[in-house]
Amino acid sequence: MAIKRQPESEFAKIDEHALDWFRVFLKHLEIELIDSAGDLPAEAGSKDYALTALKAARRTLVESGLDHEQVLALFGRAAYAPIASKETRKWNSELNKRRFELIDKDIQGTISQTERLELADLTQLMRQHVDSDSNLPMQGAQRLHRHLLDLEAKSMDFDQ
Amino acid sequence: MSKFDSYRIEASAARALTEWKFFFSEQVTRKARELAAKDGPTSTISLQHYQQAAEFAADLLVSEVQKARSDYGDQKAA
Repeated sequence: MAIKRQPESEFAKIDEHALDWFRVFLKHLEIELIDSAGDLPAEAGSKDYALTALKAARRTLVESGLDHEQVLALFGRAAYAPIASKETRKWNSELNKRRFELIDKDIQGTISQTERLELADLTQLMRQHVDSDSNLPMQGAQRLHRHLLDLEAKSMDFDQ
Repeated sequence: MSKFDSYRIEASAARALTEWKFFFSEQVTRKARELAAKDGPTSTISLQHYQQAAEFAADLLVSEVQKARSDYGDQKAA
């Protein structure tokens, strides 16, 4: 199995806690894989192995304490995130429109499995955007603050 | 060897290998952290620390496997 990846710098450093988490995750994933491998039919091929591996990853994540919705959102993010680059996606009106289309399909019962994963990804991205600092309504808060200061100043003028 | 004349592997053997790999990597990590701390106030664990730690962990792994073998032998004999 040959996978091309950008070589990391010799001096790149990795967070210790991340490596600890990956190590424990890999152990549990391997045990899940071994338990699942016994159910594979003799004629199974690489696509069956890949599906088994993804199912085992899902079970391992559930056993780590995540619920079904969280795991679905993570799978959606992994499926739609750019593979080669580390660029992060920004929420925009196109993605918002697409999310509403998918919600409509979900309500109508015509959403496919692939689209369900896409919806989970978009919902996660939207939540990140809503929770991000850049989305805080600072301009409105600053306008209100100025307005209140003006009111206070006018009130003091009036009292004098 | 084609897929059709390959060996079948006991699940317990595959699980044991997973446990040994995990044991080894845990010991390397723990020892490398100790070695880095001895080197002074640094926040970096280097390849050298890992190489020294791996030799130490390899000895521990041999003991661990031997202990598991004797435990298994005791269970079979009982």
